[in-house]
Amino acid sequence: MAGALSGGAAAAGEVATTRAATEARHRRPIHQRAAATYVVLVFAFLFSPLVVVVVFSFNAIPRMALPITDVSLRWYQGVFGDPEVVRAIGRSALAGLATAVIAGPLGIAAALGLHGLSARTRSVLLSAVLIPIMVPGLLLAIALALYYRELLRIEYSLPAAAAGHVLIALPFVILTMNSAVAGFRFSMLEAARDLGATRWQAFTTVTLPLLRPAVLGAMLLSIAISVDEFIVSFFVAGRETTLPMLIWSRVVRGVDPSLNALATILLVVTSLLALLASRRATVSV
Amino acid sequence: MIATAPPQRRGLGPWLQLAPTLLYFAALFLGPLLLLVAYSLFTFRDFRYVPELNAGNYLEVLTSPAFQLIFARTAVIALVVTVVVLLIAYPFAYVVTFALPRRRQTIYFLVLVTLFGSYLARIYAWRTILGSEGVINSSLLGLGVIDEPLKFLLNSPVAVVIALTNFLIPLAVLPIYSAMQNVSPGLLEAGRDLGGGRLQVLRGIVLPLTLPGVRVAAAFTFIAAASDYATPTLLGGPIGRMAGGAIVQEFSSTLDWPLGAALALTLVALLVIMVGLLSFVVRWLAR
Repeated sequence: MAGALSGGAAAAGEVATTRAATEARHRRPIHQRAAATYVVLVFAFLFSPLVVVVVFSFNAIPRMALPITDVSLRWYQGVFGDPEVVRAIGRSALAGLATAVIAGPLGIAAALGLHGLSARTRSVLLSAVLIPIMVPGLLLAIALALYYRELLRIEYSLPAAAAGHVLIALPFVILTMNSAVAGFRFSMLEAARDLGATRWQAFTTVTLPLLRPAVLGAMLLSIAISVDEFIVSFFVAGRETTLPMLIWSRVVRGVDPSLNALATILLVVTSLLALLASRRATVSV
Repeated sequence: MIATAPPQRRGLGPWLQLAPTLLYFAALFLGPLLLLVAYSLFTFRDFRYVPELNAGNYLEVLTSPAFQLIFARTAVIALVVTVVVLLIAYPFAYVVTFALPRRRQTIYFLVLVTLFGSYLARIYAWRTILGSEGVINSSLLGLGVIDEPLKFLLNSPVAVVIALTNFLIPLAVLPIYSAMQNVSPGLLEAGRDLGGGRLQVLRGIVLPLTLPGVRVAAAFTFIAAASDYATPTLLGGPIGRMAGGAIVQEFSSTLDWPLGAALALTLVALLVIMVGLLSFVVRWLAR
């Protein structure tokens, strides 16, 4: 009886220690705090340039030093009253939309097509389609500049730049759509077909609604990529200056306090697009 | 049996769906790159591009001391950036995965935001932070810590390394982070239960399993750093000039496009060699 009791107590004690051990293993307050500190420090470094731009865009005087004594919106008023800036923003928006409208459908069709192929062909094609991600933007930019001028003999323009942005966005769209299509239940499509839907009906009423978050995410990402793109536009947009090109030309020209406001606008737009995109779709490398 | 398998009728359908994308890449990606290769073999004479195929441009690139210096500097700066980025990104992905699992989603979002968050705005920001009338110098002068602005901060390779490191960290974190998701925490516990120390577990279990991610991250980082144009141009000054600047100069001011094309393809050769070398070194370190 006593033996059984002490045995039970020992067992209970053992359970307690293992539980304590597991909890310790999962909690480790000190290491967790160190880990959190490290993550915060890295983010502080990553965000520091962004914070500086945003903070000084509200500075009343054109001096880039702390402390800031007076806050104003004068740079924003100046920027939005400047027709050159408004035109550049309009062009960037247009190029972004065009990129999404072209890269979106191409990428969706390609991801669905990839899924219908044998696993081996698919992996070969998928890596081929991803090559443009590895190719430096500068190389793409000069190759396109050469190709447009010497072979196609077309003028450098906004459409020419947007066509280049599609090349950069498309691999990301395919990656995003590919992981969405992998989780897609094709039995639903068969059910729709069995119930008498045409292929097109099945696509618009079943496939598209189910893939909608990923499609939207991929298209938002395309807009973000296009709006932020600099080097291809720099080479082939000609005189149709986009927002990054405008920032570039003003930075090269010298210090200009309105740049903080311009950079903040670009920053807010691309960050919001990226945030919205990442809530809808996952890009897995 | 879950019916997620693709419909069995294969045939032409998938290829038709892929055709627009493949044609687009053939017309606007493969075509331009092949033309670039062709032009690198042309000659620039009397302000015209003469299609006489020869390797003269490559000879000029490889034998000119000025270009040699630029390529050597490009390789060194990109290598320094790659090492620093990996040293920051690897522990970052590690602690996010294993020490802060509950904050994972939030951190992932933030990393994505910094990845796509405005490249030019950030380069401009570094100019204003590091410049002689910039945030650091004005604040230090105001506080009386220094009497004269620190000149080495801007227009130097230091500025280029800082800025490139700053925006390539997210690019390196993502592949390493994905690789870490395949390491089950149970494996780590098993390693510790068998008496392995924290470092031994990291070295013997985590590192080998995440090696593919590290190699992808190293390749991405090196390629992006070595081929960047805007960062060295705006932050590097004359002593921070890199290959991108030399290529753009041939295309926009000298207008010797064949030489520019040869420079660009020499850069590609450098990238291929260095990425291969990096991949080998990473594998050797984790052996």
